[in-house]
Amino acid sequence: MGSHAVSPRNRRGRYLARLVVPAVAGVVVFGAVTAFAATLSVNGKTLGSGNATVSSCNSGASVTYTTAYSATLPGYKVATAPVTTAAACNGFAYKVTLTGAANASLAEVTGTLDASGNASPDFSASNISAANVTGVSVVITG
Amino acid sequence: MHDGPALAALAGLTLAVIAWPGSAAATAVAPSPQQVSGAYAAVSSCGTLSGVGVAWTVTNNVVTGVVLTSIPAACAGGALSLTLVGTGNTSLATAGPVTLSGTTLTLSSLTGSATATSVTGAQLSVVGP
Repeated sequence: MGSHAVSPRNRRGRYLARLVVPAVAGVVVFGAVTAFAATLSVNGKTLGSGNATVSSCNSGASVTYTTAYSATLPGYKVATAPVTTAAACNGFAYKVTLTGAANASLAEVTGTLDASGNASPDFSASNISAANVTGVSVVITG
Repeated sequence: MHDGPALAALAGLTLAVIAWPGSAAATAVAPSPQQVSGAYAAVSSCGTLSGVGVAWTVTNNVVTGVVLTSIPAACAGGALSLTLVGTGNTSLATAGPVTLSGTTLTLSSLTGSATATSVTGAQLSVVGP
């Protein structure tokens, strides 16, 4: 035994030390991560991360157009761009963007889809020449 | 004999330490799943409308009908609208939308009254097909 003799009290102390040290290290590491995450912010809004399943209420949307004459242009402008989706998309928010040359945004209208999943965004105020529209983008979220 | 309470306390401490970081992470991130769809579609033209021929019939100096010719064949099935304009590009009379079925179209129903001498131009629009 000699110098290797350890009293029961010391044995318990060494046993505690073996377990407590890793536990404390865990507190430091996770504590540091938590503190770091708390400092993240963008424009006053907190920023975090996580996983969430993102699904779609419909596989596609159909967009048509109505036009109206504008003396200001002069010529025909886009009056509305009716959007048709699925009833499953009812109440969802939509954004319709008309684009022109070089995919530049010409005008954008947002709103909420009706009970049938449709909408009729009004572009009249934007005075977009129908001849200048080369593309349309639709985003639906809900 | 005295190790039991100490080990129990140690086990409790360890569990508390392990659970704490997990709890912090759960409160820091709260995903709110949303459905999202996005798409882009190119909008092409069925053809140039600047080459469309425009003639009108006049009765008592009022335009009562418009005949369109040389409409691009690819526009068949589209909806054509026409506006007769005057000075300052003001709208004098309109017609349509009318579904195109060929390269010529006669519009005999006009909304508004355009005197023949006041018409300075015609604006066309085709939506579709």
